[in-house]
Amino acid sequence: MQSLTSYITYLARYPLAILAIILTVVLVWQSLRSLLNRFKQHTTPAHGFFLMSQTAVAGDFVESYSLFHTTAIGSSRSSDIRLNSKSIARRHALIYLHDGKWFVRPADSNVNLYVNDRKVNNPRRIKNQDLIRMGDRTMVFVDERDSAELSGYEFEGSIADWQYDKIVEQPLRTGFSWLLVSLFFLIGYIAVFLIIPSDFGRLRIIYLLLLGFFFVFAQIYYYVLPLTFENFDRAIYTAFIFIAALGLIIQARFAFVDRIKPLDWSNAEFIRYIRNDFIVQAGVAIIGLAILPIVILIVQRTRFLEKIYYASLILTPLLYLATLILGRGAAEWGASLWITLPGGISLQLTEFAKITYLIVLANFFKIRPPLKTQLLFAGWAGFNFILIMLLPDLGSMMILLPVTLIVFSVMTSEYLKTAGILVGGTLIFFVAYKLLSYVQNRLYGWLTLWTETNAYNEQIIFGLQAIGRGGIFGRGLGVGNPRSIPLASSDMVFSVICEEMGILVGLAIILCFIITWLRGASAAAKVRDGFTSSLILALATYFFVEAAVVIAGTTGLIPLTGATLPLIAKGGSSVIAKWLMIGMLIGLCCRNEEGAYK
Amino acid sequence: MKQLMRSLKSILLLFLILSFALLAGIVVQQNKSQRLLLQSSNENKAVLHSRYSNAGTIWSADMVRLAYSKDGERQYAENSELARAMIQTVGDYTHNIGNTIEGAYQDRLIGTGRSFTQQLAFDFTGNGMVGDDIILTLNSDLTLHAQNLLGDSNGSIVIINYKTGAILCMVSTPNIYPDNVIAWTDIPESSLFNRSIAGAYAPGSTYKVVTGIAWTESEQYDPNYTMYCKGQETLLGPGSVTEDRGEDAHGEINMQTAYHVSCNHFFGDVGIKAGAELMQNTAEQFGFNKPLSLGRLVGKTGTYKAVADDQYLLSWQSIGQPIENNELTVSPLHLAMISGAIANHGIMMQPYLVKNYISPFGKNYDITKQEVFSQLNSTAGVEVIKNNLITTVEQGRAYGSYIQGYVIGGKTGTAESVNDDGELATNSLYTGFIDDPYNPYAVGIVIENGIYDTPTIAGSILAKAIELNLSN
Repeated sequence: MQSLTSYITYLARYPLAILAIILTVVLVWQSLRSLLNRFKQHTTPAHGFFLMSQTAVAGDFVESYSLFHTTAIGSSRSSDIRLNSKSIARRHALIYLHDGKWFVRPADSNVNLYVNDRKVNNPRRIKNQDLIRMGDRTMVFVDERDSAELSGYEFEGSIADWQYDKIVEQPLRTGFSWLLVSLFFLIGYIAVFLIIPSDFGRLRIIYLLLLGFFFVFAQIYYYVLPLTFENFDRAIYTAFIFIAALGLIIQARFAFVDRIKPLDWSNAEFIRYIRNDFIVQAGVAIIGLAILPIVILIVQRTRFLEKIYYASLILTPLLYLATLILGRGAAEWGASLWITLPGGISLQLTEFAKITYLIVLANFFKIRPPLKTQLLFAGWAGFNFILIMLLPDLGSMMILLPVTLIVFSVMTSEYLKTAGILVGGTLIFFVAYKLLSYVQNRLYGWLTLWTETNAYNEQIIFGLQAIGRGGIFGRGLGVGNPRSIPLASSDMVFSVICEEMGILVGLAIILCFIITWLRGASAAAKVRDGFTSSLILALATYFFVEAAVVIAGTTGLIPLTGATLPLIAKGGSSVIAKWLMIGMLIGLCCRNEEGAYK
Repeated sequence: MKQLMRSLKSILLLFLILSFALLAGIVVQQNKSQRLLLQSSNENKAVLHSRYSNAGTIWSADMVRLAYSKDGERQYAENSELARAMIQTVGDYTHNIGNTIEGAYQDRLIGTGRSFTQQLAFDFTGNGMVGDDIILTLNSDLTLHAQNLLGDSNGSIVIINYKTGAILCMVSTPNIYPDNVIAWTDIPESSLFNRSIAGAYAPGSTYKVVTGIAWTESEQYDPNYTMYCKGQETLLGPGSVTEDRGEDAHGEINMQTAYHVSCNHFFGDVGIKAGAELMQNTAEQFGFNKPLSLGRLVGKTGTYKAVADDQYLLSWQSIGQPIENNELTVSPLHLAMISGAIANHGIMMQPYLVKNYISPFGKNYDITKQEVFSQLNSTAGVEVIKNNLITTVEQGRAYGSYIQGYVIGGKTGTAESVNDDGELATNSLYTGFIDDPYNPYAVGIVIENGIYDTPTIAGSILAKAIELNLSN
C-alpha cells in the first residue's frame, strides 16, 4: 500500500477529469449558442457611417445604405448593397474600413468607379460628403460625426441605429466555469505538492510560491480586466487559464516527480538543476500572464499591429533565415529551430515568425484583395514556406497552411480558388514526399503504426500505449510512465496527460481550443474593420489548428510530430509567443466601435 | 459582409465536423491502442521494470506462481525449469517476447484495464493501484512433464480439455530461462518462438482425420468401401499419391485398416472421391483458415486451400502432405483441437489460457466463458472416425499411446518440410484424445527433424494428465 499522500493524489484524478470536462463542455455550449445567435442577428452596421443615393432627376436624397467593415456593392444577391441596374456589375465596388479610415475600390478592373468625378482604380480614401458614382448611380458617403461637428452639434446617434436594432450582446456567463477552473487548479496544485519528494526541501516552497502567484494573478485578472477593457472576453480567458494551469501542473510533475539523478552529479547540483528547470517553466507562464494586460492595452487602444505590417513583411522571412543559418538542434529534435544567445539562452525565433506571418496574412486579406495582390501574397508566403521546409519544420507548415487557407476562404469567399489552393497544397506535399526522405520515413512510420514498431513510429506507439493505459480517468498524477515516451514533456505531452489524468482531460484540452475558435469567429463577425476581423480569425484558427495538428499527430491520426501543444508543452519562447498571441486575440476582441475608429 | 457571414457559417460547419472527428478519433485511437499496442519492441526497459514492480501475480491452474513482483522486482517461477517451460506463454516484463500473458495482460496486471465500476470500487477502498492476479489454465506439473518429454528436441506438446477448451499444457522447445530473455544473452535460435500456438507445420497423416470426415460426408461414401493399395506405385500415375515410406502394398483395404496402417493410397483415393469442395468445407468446419485468439493472445489455426482442378495434387493434400505451393499447415494447438472435436461429438471448443482474475479483494472475477469455436456438420461420421482412431491406438500404429484401462484414440503423422537450416527434414506429429468424461483431454504433438515415437510421448503425457486428475 502506497503512502496516504500519493493515494490522495491518485484519487484526485477523478475530480480533475470531471471538472475539466464539465467546465469545457459548458463553455463550448455557451460559445456555440452565442455564435449562432450572432449569425441570426447578422451583424451591426457601422454606426454613424452610411451611403445615401441620389436620384438622377430631382437630386433628392431618397435612400440610405448601411455600411459594414467590408461592404460589397453590386447587382448580385450576395452583395451587401444590391443595386438593380444594368450599368452595375455583379461585383462592382468595395467600401471598407481600415485603420480607422474608410476606403473605396473597384471590385473588378473592368468596372467604372468615380469619387468626386475622378476615376478610381486603386483603393481611395473617402470622407464625409464625397460623391461616389458607379454606373448610373451616385451616392454620397456620410460621416455623421463630421456632419454633426460641421453643424455645431454633438453626435448622439446614428441613422443606422434607427434602421437596425442594435445587437444586444448576450455576455457569456463564465462564473461557473471559472469556479471550476479555479477548483481544477487548486486540486492539481495540491495533488502535485503531495507527491513532490520531501527531500527536495525548499523546492516545495518555490513550487507553492510560483504556482500560488500564478493562481492569484489569474484570479485578479478575471475580475479586474473586464473593468478595464470593455468587451473583455472572459470565455477565451477562462479557456486559456485552464490550459495554462494544466500546463503548469503537468510540467511541475515532470520537474519534481520520478527524476533520476545522474550518477556523477552531487545532490546539490541535482536540486539546482531541477530548481532552474522549474523556475524557467513557471517563470515564462507568469511573465506571459503579466504581459497579458499590456498586450491587450496596446492592441485595443492603438494601431500598433496595423503599423508593424511592413516590418512584419520583412521580419518574417528574416526570422526564418536567421534560424536556418544559426539554428541548432537537428540531431536532437529533427529540426534546427533553436538559436543560442550569449549567456546560453536558447530562443526559437520561428515562434515569433508565426506571429508576424499572421499579421501580414490578416493585412493582405482584410478586404477582398484583387488577384494581383493575392499573387503577391502567394509569392511572399511561398518563399516563407520554402524556408520552413528547409529547416525542416513540417509541423509549422502543417499549421500555417490551413490557417492561411481558412482566412483566405472566409475573407475572400472565393471557394473555387480555395479548392485550387487545396489541390496545390496536396501536390506540394506529394512533391515533398517524393523529394524528401524524412517525409517518406514519417509516412512509412504512420502507415505501419499498428503492424510494426520502427524508428519512425515508435514515439507515437509509446505515446498511444500511454494513452491506452490512461483510460477514462487516468492512472493518477505521478503514476504514469512518461520516461517511456521520447520528448514526453514537449512534443508528446498530450499522451502523458491522457495517461495520468485520463482521456477526459485530453478531450477537455481540445474543447478549450474549440471555445477559442468559436469566440474568435463570433468576434470576427462583430468587429467592423477587415484587419481586426481577419487577424482575430487568423489567431483563433491558428490556436485550434496547432492544437488539432499536435494532438492528431501524437495520437497517430495524421502522420506528423514535431509541433508543441500551446501553453502545455515545455518551452520558453513558444510559451511567451503564445501569451503574446492570446493578448493580441483578446485585445482585438475588445476593440469596440469607438476603439476601432479612433 | 453577407458573404463573410456565409463563409463563416460554412467554415463553422467544417470546423464542427473536424472537431467532432478529432474527438472521436482520439477515443478510437485509445481503444485501438488498448487492444493492439499493449506491448511493442524497443520499449524502455527501465520504465517497464518500474511499471511491473508492483504488478499482479500470474498463477498456474494448480496455484504455482509463474510471475510475481516482490520488493520492486519482477520474478518468475521459483522452479527454473518451470519458468523456462512457461517462458513463451508467460513472457517477460521487458516484452522481448511478443504475444505473451505479461505483455497482453499488462493492463490487468498493473491495475488499469478494469471496467469503470470495478476500478471505482477498488479506488475508494484503497486498492485501486494494485493490479489483478491472473490464473491460467496451465498445470505446472503437466508442463514440467511435457518439457522433460521434449528434452533437447525442437517441438511442442499441447493438451486441452476438449469439453471446456481450457489449455492445460503448452510447451514449446527450445526454450530459455527468463533471466536470459531479460538480459538478452545466450538466446538459442527460435527459442522465443511459441511453436504451440504459432507453428505452421505440414500435418502429414494426422490430416487423415479431416479427410476421413470429408469422406463420410461424401455422396459416394460407403461404409464397406474397399480399394486396392498398390504400395510404392502411384495412385493415379506419376505425380499422384504413393506409399513413400518404402512399404509393401496394403492390398485390399477398408477405412478402418487404412487408419491402422495409415494407408496413403486409401486416403488419397477417398479424398479425390470427396472432391475439392467438400475437402475445403470440412477443413473449415475443423477451424482451418479461421482466426484464432486465446483471449488477448493471437493463436494460429491451420491453413488449407483445396486444389480444385488437379486430382494428383488433391490426393497429396488428402494425406496431409502439401506439395509444390499448395497450402496446408497446422499448429500443435490446432492438432489437439482437431482430435478434441472428434472426441467431443464434433464440437470444437474455443481454447483459452486465462481462467479468471483475482481482484485486490482476493475474489475471483471475470471468469472466462466457455464458447464453441466450430462445429462439424456430421455427427454420424464423427463417431465412425472416432472409433477408427480408437482402434488405431488399440491395434494400429498409434499403439504407443495406449493406456491400460482408458479408451484412447489417436493418429500419427510424419511430414517433410524445410527446417531452419533450409534442409528437407521430417517432422513427427500426433493428434489424439482420451474418451473419458472425467478425463476429457486431447493432445497435439509436433517434434521436428526426425522420426520420433510420438504415440509413446502422447501416452506418457496423457497418463500424467490422468494421474493429476485435472478435471477436479
